[in-house]
Amino acid sequence: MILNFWVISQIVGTVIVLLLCIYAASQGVRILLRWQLESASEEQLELEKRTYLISTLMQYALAFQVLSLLLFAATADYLASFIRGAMCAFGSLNANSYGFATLWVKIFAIFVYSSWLVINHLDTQAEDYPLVKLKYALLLLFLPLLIADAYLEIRYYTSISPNVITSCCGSALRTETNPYGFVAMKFPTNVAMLAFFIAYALTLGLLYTYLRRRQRRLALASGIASLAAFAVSLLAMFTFLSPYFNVVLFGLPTQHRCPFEVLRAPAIGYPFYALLFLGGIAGVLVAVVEPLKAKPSLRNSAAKLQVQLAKLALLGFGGFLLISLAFMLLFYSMVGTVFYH
Amino acid sequence: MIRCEHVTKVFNRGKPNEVVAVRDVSIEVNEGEVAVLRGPSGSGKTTLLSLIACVAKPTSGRVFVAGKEVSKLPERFLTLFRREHVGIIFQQFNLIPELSVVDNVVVPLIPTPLPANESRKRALALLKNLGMERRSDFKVRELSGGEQQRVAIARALVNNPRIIVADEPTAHLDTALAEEFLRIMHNLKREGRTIVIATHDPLVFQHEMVDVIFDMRDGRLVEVVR
Ligand SMILES: Nc1ncnc2c1ncn2[C@@H]1O[C@H](COP(=O)(O)OP(=O)(O)OP(=O)(O)O)[C@@H](O)[C@H]1O
Ligand SMILES: [Mg+2]
Repeated sequence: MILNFWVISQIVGTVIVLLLCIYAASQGVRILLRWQLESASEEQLELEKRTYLISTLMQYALAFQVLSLLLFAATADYLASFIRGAMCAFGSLNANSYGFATLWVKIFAIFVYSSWLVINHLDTQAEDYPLVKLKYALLLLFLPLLIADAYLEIRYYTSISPNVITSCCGSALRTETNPYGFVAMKFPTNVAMLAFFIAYALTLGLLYTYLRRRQRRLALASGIASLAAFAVSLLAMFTFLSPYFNVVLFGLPTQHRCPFEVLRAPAIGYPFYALLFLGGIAGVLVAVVEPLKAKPSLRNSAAKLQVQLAKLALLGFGGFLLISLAFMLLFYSMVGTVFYH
Repeated sequence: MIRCEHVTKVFNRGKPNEVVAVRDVSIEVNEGEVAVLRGPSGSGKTTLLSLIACVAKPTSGRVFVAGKEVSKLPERFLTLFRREHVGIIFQQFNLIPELSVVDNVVVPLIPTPLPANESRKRALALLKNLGMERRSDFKVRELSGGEQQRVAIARALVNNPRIIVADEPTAHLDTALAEEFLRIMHNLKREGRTIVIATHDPLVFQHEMVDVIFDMRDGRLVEVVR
């Protein structure tokens, strides 16, 4: 185990979030069983007061969990200098079997957490607690995910041994027996490239058309397309996209397909990924919000939020695409082609 | 306009210092009426008033104000509702001594989208109505008790509330000033506003404008005099 400020503060943060969520879930059970909006009984009025408190707590807890992905990536990058064989976050995450599992779970969970945050936000926009039962049912449903998230993260940090030599992006790529399933890196680059541009054309097109027409099916389609575009973008970073950055920024060879190197240029790397997550999350939420518009007390606030989310998704994906294209151009000016493979 | 159904307010529930300040009270005040909550010290007048004024929520029971079940509103909406519909005159005036008279009156309008000069205009018009136009730029600490009372009234009225709530408004006033206060309240009644006053001052509850008196003892409603 490597003990340093970043690792310890994340473990402490995770434990606090977990305890808060377990408490909230236990209260959620009570709310699910006892909630009667029509009643003016002491218990009901107390639950109304309590749900306000719990949802405020949960809001902070989950916002921290969303940010913890960023912390996790930054810490992995930082730990590379303590782990033998690690040159960047790839090597750190590859140091034991929990690293990448934690990353994938956190990435998946961030969509769940932000969905809950949006549902909670909408619930507090109405006077009649329209989503209170949904909110707590979801909280109970994703508690296992949160526990898995916390478990993997803690196991990852506590199992890191400075003596074990890890394999980093450079070598892991070449090893046929790559233990942690980097099939993505061996994915045919031309197919990935095609999928990337198709997914972006489709997603940006759908989001734009949704904003013009505001139709239900466009909202749902935008959400699905956004999720696909997000996944394809990650695939792209493991295949054809990362070398543009790695060559332009660091002069690495073109076969260096590591998606984490770009984080070493923090002013570019973090905003670049932030745009991707913004696009993916906001885009998915466009669809998540759609069925909530059915609640009479939410119609206005949900519709307004949906439009804002669609705009944010356009901004995120648009920005990610533009930066990618910019680096392809820079790469082209250096290498003379964008089809380097 | 105001209806309480089986309203109970308990402080420190489940602790050794538990107090049932209001116990199963049901009252109704119609639009444009003046109601008085009367009772000895500690009988729950201020507590019931705070429930009507949307400052606090009951432990159980329902409070309806202007057709809305305010006892069920989430805190945020309760605050918004109060700002829009209720004017409160506190026993201690609760003015800010270092601010000028007009600035004190404008305070409740700060969270609203009303432009600053518009707010000021409204405040000055109210002060003029209360005969305070020559004092508008004085600091509150430079005013007499009666003048401060009128600033507090102006502040309660600045958002043009349909309901005005006053807690022991004459407790710190001499007879002349108390009568002046009642004259102002009477005018507000004539404008159609609904007024609830907590008091044990006979000058208030014997006044001709009073439509209904609710007598309270130990948190209970013991008599309604119409
Ligand atoms: N915030 C509070 N916390 C605990 N107890 C309280 C609180 N407010 C009021 N009480 C208690 O509730 C009871 C009723 O108080 P309340 O202030 O409503 O009476 P009141 O009729 O206004 O009295 P007074 O004429 O002295 O103003 C009292 O016993 C008081 O101690
Ligand atoms: Mg009192």
